[in-house]
Amino acid sequence: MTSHPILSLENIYAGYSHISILKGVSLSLHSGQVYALLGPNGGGKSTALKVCSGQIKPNSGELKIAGRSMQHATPDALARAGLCTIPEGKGIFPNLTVHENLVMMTNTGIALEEIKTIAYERFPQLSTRSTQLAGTLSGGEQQMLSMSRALATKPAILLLDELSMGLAPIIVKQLYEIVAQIAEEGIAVLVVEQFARTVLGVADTAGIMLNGQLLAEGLPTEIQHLLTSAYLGIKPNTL
Amino acid sequence: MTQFITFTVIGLATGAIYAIASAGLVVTYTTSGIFNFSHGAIGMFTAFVYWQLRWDDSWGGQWPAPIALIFVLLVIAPLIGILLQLAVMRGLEGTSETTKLVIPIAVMLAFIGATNWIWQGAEQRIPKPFFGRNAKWSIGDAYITWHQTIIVIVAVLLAIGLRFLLFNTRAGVAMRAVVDNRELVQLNGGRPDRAALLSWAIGAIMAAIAGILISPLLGGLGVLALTLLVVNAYAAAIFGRLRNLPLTFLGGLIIGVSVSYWNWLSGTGQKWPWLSELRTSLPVVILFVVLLLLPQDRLRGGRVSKTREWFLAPTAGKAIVWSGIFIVIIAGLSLILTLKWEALLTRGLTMAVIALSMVLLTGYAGEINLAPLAFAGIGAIAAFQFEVGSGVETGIGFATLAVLLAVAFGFLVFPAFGIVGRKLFVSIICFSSFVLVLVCVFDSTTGTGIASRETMSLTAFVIAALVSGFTGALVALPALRLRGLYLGLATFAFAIFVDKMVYKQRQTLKLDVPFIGDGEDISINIFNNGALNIPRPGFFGIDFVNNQWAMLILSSIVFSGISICLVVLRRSSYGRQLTAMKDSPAACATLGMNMKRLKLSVFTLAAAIAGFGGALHASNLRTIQEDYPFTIWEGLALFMLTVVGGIGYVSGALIGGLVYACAFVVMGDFWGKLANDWGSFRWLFTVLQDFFLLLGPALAGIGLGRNPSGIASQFFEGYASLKLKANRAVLIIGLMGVVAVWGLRVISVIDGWTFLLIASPILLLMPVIGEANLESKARVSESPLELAGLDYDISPELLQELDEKVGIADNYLTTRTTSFGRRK
Repeated sequence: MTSHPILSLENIYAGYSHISILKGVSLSLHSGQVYALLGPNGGGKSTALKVCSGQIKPNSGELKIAGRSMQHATPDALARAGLCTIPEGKGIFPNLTVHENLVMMTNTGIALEEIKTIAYERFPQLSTRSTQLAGTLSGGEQQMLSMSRALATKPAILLLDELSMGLAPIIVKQLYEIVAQIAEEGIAVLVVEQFARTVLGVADTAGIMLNGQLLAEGLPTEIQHLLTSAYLGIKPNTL
Repeated sequence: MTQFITFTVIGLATGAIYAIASAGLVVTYTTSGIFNFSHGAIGMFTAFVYWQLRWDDSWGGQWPAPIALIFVLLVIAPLIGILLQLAVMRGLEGTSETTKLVIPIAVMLAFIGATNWIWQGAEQRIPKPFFGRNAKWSIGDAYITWHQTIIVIVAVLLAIGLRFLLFNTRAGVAMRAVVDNRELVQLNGGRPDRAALLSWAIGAIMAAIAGILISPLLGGLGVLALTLLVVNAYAAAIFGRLRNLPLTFLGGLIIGVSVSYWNWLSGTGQKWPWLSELRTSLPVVILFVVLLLLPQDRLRGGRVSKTREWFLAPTAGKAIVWSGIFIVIIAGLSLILTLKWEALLTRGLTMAVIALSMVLLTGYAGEINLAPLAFAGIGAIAAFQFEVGSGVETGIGFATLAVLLAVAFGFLVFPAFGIVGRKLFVSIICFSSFVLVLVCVFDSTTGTGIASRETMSLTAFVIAALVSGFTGALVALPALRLRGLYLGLATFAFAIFVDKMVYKQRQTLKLDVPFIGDGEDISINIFNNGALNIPRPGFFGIDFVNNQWAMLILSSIVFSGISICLVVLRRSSYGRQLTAMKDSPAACATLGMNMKRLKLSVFTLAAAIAGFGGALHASNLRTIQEDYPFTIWEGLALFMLTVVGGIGYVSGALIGGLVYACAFVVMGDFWGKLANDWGSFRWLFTVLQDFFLLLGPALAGIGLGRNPSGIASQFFEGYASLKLKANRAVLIIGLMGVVAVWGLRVISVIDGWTFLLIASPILLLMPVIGEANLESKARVSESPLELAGLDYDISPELLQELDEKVGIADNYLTTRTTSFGRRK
C-alpha cells in the first residue's frame, strides 16, 4: 500500500443539529483496501460514512481525499470526482425504469453505452428488465442495480452503507464477492455493516465504532473477538 | 354536421390550451411535489405582458409577434419560474401540505395584485388572435381559424417535446429522479437544484403559452377571468393523477370538448335557466368528479408526518380568561374608534369567526378546505331566505324543514362524540325540539306570505349554521376518501361551483314539504338580482340596526364563545381523535377508529361555524353581492391569512380575520394620509399605499415559508418571557404605558394616529426588553442537562453539583436515574 491514503478522516466531530454523534473519529483508507466499519446501532458508522460522502458537514476535523481537504465539497461534486456512495436501503430511483436509473449514472461523466455494457454484462438479469420500473424489481435485483453504479462509473472510492439490509444471506454473499472484485481493481472500499460475519471475510481492515468513537482498528482476525462486547455496548478492556 | 364540426374544433382548441397549461402544472408537481396554484396567475400575467408589447398605445405596442413571443416565452416566463423557485418554493421543504398549498396561493394573489397594480384603469385590452380574426380555412361549411389551428399544432408539438425531454434526456430523467430521492440524485453526481430550476422555468413557459393562446378567445383581458380559465386546467392535471402526461393531455381535450358540446346542447346556457352558468363551471364539476373516481394512494403507515409546524393546546381555563380580557380590550378600543374603524374591526371579527371553522378543520383535523367562504355564503343566504327573502305559505313548512335539518345534523355529528344507541335518539330529539322551539316560539314563523322581517333573529343564525353544516356534509360525503391536496382541490372546485351556480343563480326554488300545506310551501329566490340586503340582528331588546358598537361587542362575544368551545373540543377525546387523524391516518385505522364518521362530523361542524360566521358577517355588512364578500378569491385570501396567523390556534383565526379586514386598510390609509399631508412625496406614498393594499396579503403569505407555524406561535414565543416573575415590572410598566396613552386618546388629548404610533412600539418593545432583562439576570446554560453525557462529558464538577442538589453527595451512581429538569 502507498503511504498516501486515498480517503481519510482526521479527528472528525459531526452530528445532526445540536446533537453531536462523531467525537474525534480518524480513519484512513488506501486504494484497493476494503475497510469494514462495524459496531452496534447508533454507534456513528452511518454518520461517518455520510461525512465521507459529503452529506454531513463536520463541525470540526478534516475530510481528505487523495491528500486534499474536501469537507466543503457538495455530495454531487464529490460524486463527479469519483466517489461512489450506495446509501442504506437500495440506492435506486423506484419510479424510474432500470434504463433511466442507468441514465442517472451518466452524471459522473461515463457514457451511457459503456455503463449499459458493464451493468448488463455483470448482471444479465437487468438487461431483460430495462424498461421495468426499478421499484418493481426484487430486493436482490434492486441491490444489483445499485451495485452496477459502483461497477460502471469506475469510482476511485466506494462507500457502502448496510449492503445486506433486508436481503437473503445467499445474495449478500454474492454481493460481497463483487465487492471483493471491485477492490481488486484498485478501488478503495469503505463498508458499513451491522452484521459483521460476511463482511469480515472480505475486509482487509476492520474498525469498531461505539458511541461515536473508533474503539479498535486492525486486521479482521484481531478485531473479531472484540465484536461481542462492542455490540453489548461495553468498552473492551484491552483498549 | 357543420355545427358539430364547429363546436368540436372550438372544444379541441380550448382543450388543447387546457392540456398545455396542465402539462406545465404536472411538470412542476412531479419535480417539486408542489401543486402550483399560481400557475393560472402566471399565465394571466404573461398574457398581459404580451398584450402590452403587442398592442398597447402608450408603451411597448407594435412589437412584431415573433419578437414579443420570444421575449415573453424565453425571457419573462423562465425568469418568473426561476425566481419563484429560488425565492419562494425552495424554502418549502419539510413543511406540511397546508403550507405547501398556501404559499402558491399567496403567489397567485401576488400576481393578481401586481397585475391589477400595473395595468390599472378600466380600458378595454383586446388581444387579437394570430393572423387576425379573419384568417380561417374551412372543412365543408365549417370555418376553422388559424388561431385555433395553431393552438392544436402547438399542443401536439409540446406534448411530443415534453415527453421526449422527460424520458429521453438526462436533464429530464434527473427532473423526475429528484422527486424520487433528492439525496440519491446528488450521490449520483446530479444537481437537484438545477433540475428544479429547469422544471419551474418549463412550467412557467407552459403557463405563458396557455395564457397567450387563450386570451384572444376571451374577448378582453380580465385578471380574474383569465386566472380562473387556466385554473380549469387543474381538472386535466388530475386526469393524469398529476403524473401522467398523455392522460393529462387527454383530460384537457375531454374538458374542452365537453364544455363546447354543452354550449351547443344548451344554446350557450339559454335552454335550461337553472343550468345557465354550468358552461363556466363544468370544468370544476369535472374536476370534482374525477377526484372522486381517482384511485387514492394507500394510507402510508411507515411515514409519520413530521413537519416544521408546531402547535400547542391551551387549557379551557386559559381560554376563558383570555376571552374575557379580549372582550374588555375590544370594549376599551371601541371607546376611541371612529365609526369607520368600528365597522372595520367588526368586519375583521366576523371574518375571524368564519376563520375559526378553518382552525377546527385544517388546524385541528388537518383537512384542507379551500371553500370556507362558500360555506359562509351559503349560511348568509340561508339566514336571508329564512328572515327576508322566501315566500312562505305555511310557517309549519319552514319549521318542518328546520327540524329535518336538525335531525340530519344530529346524525352527522353526535355519533362522533361517542353518543350512540338510545342516547343518540334522545339527544337528537332534544336538539330538534330545541330548534323547533326556536323557530316557532322565538321567531313566530307562523304567518303567510313573504317573511320580510326587519331584523335577524337568533333562529336565523341557527338555521344558517344548520343549512351550511348540512351542505358541508354533502360536500364531504363523496370526498371522504380524499386527503391533503386532493381534498383541497375538491373543496376548491366546490367554491368555484358555488361562485358560479349559486351566487349567479336568478331562479326561484319551489319546495314542497311533504304532508304539509298544499303544493309549493316555500319559494326561495336564491340570489335575488345579484345582491341580497341582509338585516341586522335583533334580539334581547338590543338595537343592532343603528348601533355599530353593539355589533362590535356582539361579534367579539361570538368569537370568544366559539373559541372557548373549540379549545375545550381540542382538549376532549374528540379533539385527540382529530389530532391523531391529522398525524397518522394509518395508525388511526389500526386503532380501530372510524375515521369516516369523524371526518364527516368535523366537516359538518366546521361548515356550521362558517355558516354562522357568514350570516353574522353579512348581517354586519347589511348587503352581499354576487362578487363580494364570499367569492373564491376572498376565500383563498382568508384561508391563506389564517394559515399565516397560525391555523392551529384560535388566535390564528383572530389574526387572520383582522389582518384580512383591517391591517392592509390601516397601512393603506396610513400612506394615503401621508400622501395627503406631504404633497411633495405624494407619488411615493401613493405607490406605498397601492403596494400594501394590492400586494400586502400575498407577501404576508409568501413570508409564511420562513415560519410555518404562523404569527400566533411567534407571538406566544415572543411574549413568553413576560410571563416570568423576573419580568413582572416590565409587563406592568408596559401595560400602564398603553393604558395611559389610551386614556389620553379617550379624553381626546391625542388623535388616533398618535395613539397607534405610541402604543404599538410599546407593545412591540415589551418582549424585547423582557428578553434582555432575563439575559442580564440569569445565565442560561447552552445545552440542556438531559444531553449531559451525549453532547458534553459529565465532568466531576457537574456530578458533584448534581449530587449536592439531590442530597446524595456520597453515592453518585444513583444520580443517573434521577431527573433534574433544566440547569439554570
